[in-house]
Amino acid sequence: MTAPLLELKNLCLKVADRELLKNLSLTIRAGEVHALMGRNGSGKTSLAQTLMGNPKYEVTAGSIELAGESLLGLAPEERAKKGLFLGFQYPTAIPGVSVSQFLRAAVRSVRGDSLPAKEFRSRVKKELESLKIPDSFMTRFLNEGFSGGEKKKLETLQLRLLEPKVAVLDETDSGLDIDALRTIAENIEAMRNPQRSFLLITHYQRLLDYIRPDYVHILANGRIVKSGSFELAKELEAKGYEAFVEAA
Amino acid sequence: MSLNLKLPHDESAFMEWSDRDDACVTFDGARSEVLIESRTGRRPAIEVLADNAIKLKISANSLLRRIRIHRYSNQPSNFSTRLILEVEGGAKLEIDEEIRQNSTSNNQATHETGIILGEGAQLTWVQSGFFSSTTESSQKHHVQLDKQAQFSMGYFGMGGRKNDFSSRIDLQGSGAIAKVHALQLGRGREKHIQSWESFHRVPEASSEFQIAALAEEISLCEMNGLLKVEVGAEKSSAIMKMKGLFRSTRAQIEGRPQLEILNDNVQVAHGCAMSPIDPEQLFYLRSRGLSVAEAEDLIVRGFISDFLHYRDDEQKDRLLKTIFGGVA
Repeated sequence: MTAPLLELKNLCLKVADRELLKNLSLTIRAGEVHALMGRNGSGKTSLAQTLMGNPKYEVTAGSIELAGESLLGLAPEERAKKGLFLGFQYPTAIPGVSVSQFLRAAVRSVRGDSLPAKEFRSRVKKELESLKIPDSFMTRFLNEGFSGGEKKKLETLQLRLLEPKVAVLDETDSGLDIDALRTIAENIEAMRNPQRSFLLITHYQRLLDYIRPDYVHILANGRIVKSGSFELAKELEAKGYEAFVEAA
Repeated sequence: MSLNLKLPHDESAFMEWSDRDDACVTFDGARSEVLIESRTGRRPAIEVLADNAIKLKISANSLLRRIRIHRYSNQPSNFSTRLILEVEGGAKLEIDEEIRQNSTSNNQATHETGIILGEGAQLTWVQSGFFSSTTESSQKHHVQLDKQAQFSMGYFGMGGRKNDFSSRIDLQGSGAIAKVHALQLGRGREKHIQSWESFHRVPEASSEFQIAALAEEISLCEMNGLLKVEVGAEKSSAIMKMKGLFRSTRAQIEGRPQLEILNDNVQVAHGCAMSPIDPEQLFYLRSRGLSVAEAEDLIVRGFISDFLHYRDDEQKDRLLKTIFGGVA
């Protein structure tokens, strides 16, 4: 068994005096794909934002480690440089900043290398084709006026360019039509390798039909109330969240 | 605010242009003269009036498409210029203008511009103003649009101890269109006042204003606006949006868009939004490895770029280098 790549122990979290996570523990090893499922308001996005270090959330107890190193106290940019990636559920629009300008800055910051312009363009072009995104995308302002599908494709484009150790993808499947879901899922699936791990946050089984998780966890009331294999996602789809929340 | 669009001298101050290439008009504060040049080396004659005042007339059949205008001074003395531009019906013209006052002694800069656009004339005017910290500047614009005339303006201003900028646009012909994008940058203890007014006097004209201010340190930026639609101006369309971004808790931005509507059959709107840098934007960029400083810088560059309309990439790069003093 490989060493844990991302490990949460007894994590407690609050925002504006409201307790969101209660003693949440989760271990993700290299190469594993975990799915975290839960109803609206169960704490999924709060967990994702906390992992990335959003200052809005306060960790009151517990630990978060990436490859054995504590992330608590590290700024979001330091976490990104250590190999953590968050695919946002609602990526923020930044008017006046082109996608191209942003991607160059992100790649330079996270990977620490300054890809020559020609190489960068050629790599981006390849990824755009793979994600079925037109070239004109690069000159648009970041997430401004983007459809839900375009935003998620841009998040996936960043994931592929930044090549993180651990990717936390927060409802990457929301707002997507069937074709876009398949394209995005295939691009994520293609990134699976024995060194990289994923935490997929979702409401539905449909994403998991494309990216088969090794483990599925159900989050309710700030705690993981049940963990299991992919079969658990199917059971959840059949029974609904109510059954698991009541049993917890 | 209104300029007298007639100069006190006779018609000899007019200049007819028929050059095919670009022209450059330089108000040279150091030499107290106005130079007019074209790339081919031809120097059309022009009579320069007192106090650096000139009037240029672009005739309907002119082949001139672009004029660069410079109003430069590095002298400690006060610097005043006055330009009246008359574009006859049917002509289409671009103006790329830069005003610079670099003197390090206390001084005043007063620049006035009057523009008359004839029926169907089209003018795109890009103006940038850069003033030293010892300069107190005053700028006045007055633009008159005849029937179907189109006026687009991209304004950017920075520097100066105190700057008073006012612009008035008179839509005098039906179907006339005016579009303005303006951005003022305030730094240090600077005080900037922008005033934009649009007067709809005839039916079916439209005006659109996107006015912005970026305030740093302890600067103060004021934005005042007035859209006035007269009784006879039915089916007018007018919109004025103001946007402000603070980079410091001590910086101040005030926005006052006002409407005066005397006709019921019009579409008019105004709005004003001020905010500090959005923490969600900041977090998003930081999650992609950018430091707080890098993320703020990118957001601010984006805010500025969003208002640099009618400028090509080269002009934008040059302007960003001037603002940030380094790599664009």
